[in-house]
Amino acid sequence: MPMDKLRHRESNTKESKKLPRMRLTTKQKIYGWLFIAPALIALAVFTFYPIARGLLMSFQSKAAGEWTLGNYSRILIDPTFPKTIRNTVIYVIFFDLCMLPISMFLATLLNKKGLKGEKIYRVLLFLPATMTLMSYTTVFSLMFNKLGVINVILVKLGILSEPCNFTGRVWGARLIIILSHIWRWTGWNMVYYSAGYSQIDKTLYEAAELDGANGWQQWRYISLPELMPWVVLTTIFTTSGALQILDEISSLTKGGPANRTLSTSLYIYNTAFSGKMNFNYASAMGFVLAIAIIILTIIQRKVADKRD
Amino acid sequence: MKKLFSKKPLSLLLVLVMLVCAGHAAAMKAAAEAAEPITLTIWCDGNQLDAYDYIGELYNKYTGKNINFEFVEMAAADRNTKIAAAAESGYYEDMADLTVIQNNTIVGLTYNYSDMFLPLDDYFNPADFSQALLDFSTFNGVHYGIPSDTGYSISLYRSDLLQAGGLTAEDLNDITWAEFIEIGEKFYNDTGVYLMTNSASTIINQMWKASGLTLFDENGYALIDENKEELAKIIELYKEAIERHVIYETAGTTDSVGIVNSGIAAGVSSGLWVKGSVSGTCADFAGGWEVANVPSNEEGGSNYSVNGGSSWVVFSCSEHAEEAAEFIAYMYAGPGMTEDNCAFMDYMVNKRGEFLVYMPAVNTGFYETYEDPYFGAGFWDEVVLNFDKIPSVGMSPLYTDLNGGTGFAAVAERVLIDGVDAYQALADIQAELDFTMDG
Repeated sequence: MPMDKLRHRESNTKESKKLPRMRLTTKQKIYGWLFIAPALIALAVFTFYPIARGLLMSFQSKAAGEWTLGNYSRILIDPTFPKTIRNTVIYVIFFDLCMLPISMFLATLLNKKGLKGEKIYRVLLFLPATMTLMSYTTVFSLMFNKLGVINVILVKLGILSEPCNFTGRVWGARLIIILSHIWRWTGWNMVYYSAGYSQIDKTLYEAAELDGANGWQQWRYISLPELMPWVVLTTIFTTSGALQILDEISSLTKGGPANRTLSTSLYIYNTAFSGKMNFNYASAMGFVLAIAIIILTIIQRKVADKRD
Repeated sequence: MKKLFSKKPLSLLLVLVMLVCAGHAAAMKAAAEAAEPITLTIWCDGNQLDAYDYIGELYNKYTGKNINFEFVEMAAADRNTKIAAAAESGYYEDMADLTVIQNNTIVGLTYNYSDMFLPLDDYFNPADFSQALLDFSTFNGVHYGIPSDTGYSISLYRSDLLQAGGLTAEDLNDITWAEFIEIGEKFYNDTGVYLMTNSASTIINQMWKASGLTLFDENGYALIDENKEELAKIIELYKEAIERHVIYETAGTTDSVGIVNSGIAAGVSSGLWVKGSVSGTCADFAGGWEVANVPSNEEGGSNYSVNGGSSWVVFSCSEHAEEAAEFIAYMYAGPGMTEDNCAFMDYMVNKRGEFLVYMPAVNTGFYETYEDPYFGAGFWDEVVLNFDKIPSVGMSPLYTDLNGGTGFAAVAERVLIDGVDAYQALADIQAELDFTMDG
């Protein structure tokens, strides 16, 4: 049989085989869409629609509902907004620079070979993440009030001459918020790092040991590079969480003293739901915050991509 | 025969039967609805459920009505968010018929969404309430709320600590802040105990609310600049009280009650509701308390102020708005309070620690003879008779801001923490409030 004919027959056979496969793919696609349809509908109704509605509201005036850019230009002259940005940046810095290293440290300890009761420690460290907000903020309030355990210890040790009104001092109030947040979310981040550790090839450590690498060198040159995707992920989550921090502050300090702990998210919430109740302006601020989060996330991912 | 079963008459017959059936069903449904009691859905705090069950019971008993009351537990913040969200979205399906709202919040709600609430002017007589309490839920002269309980400010002192410094509450009643600071400084020097405690925001808020200044214009704008002399004086008085060891600053009322219990300060100044915290925390000092009003800002000024309180509102979207309004007016602004020898007042003060504010009921003398199991007989008579002396400072949605983090407490904190000049801090807050109002 001439080669041309043979090729023609082969291509025909391929096409005839391809046709039912394509149909199957289409069928699978339809089933796929049907399966995810309920979730998509819920997402559209409860997420996309409110986002779209919020976006439209941010371009409308509160009083007459006229189309305007006024809500966005208003941000530039808002005397409180820059203060909230400054406060939020402080939270981002502390959460990223304190919480993540602590999480990494704990995960490293828990992944040490031969550690006894490792599962119990893991559960105990993760437990704060399961606490309800009101419970742990109440505990922190009690701990830091004038008769609380922190003041008692500091006075007994002679560090303070008399109990300190932490929530009435700028850095005292910030300290309570930062500590409570770190306490709650450290275990959560630790779980990510532990997951990362479980994926590292153990033979790498064995080889390093044979080469005479000490514990620090093993962590620096094996663990850290291998855990880098997890570091990026937790940094993104932590930064995004810090930019949206609201409930701890609302419960612990309500933004005081003198707005020094007021986060951007809490300010947005207050603008929408108390006093003058300006949903339109709150929406505009919400979108500015969302854009900031998106930009930061892109930057963090780009940094991660470069590493790859 | 053939004609009889032809299509046309048969169809007509069927239609007729259907109409008769439908009519009968409608009549049955109407009869069933008439026989079925109305259900009023009420949002309230979880710890109020028992009390409100009792109120419903009393209402049906007094009026002979048969209304079902469904009390739905909902946190105050969630209620406010839900009302605002319903008003913004125009979706009212999940709304209750009525609810009770904190006074500090109701101001903004009635200003922004007055259409959400049923005007209650036809259901109760506003003259039966303190104007300062009515102000919270009044917008454009229309009353949208009925005051429920009071956040009337008081100062509670431990008798033993006062006596150690040679004082009684009588010495601290009806005096000015200047006098209070003098007495307090001497008291601290003699005993090492502070005379009063609470957070900056609690005390500062009590001070400006007692000022009687007109703090808002008719459009709701704040008049801080116009009152800056008086307001700066308030801030300076507070600063002086701190610096001269008269006030022991804490994180809030719960913290303060502990401070008094441990003997660091002799008294706590807060809303009347503080009695519950005190009796719950300081079990060892039952019967060992004295009460006074709050100091006035200047000679001839008011010694009365508010710190909290709440009001009832009826949602205009309610199918049973009229019945809901009748119910709440009857119980909180009418005969429901004085029926059965003040059973309702008795229950509320005993079980809930709440003092009701309907003046005809207050004036029955019930509270004067009330035997408080913790504080003693006749303890509250001086206090509860003066609800109507609380001065009005006007009302605006900015009231919530002034009362919260952006308000005078922030001014005091800036003066105390940063050393900012009080006039500068007041000018800054005027700018912030103008900005909020302009939006």
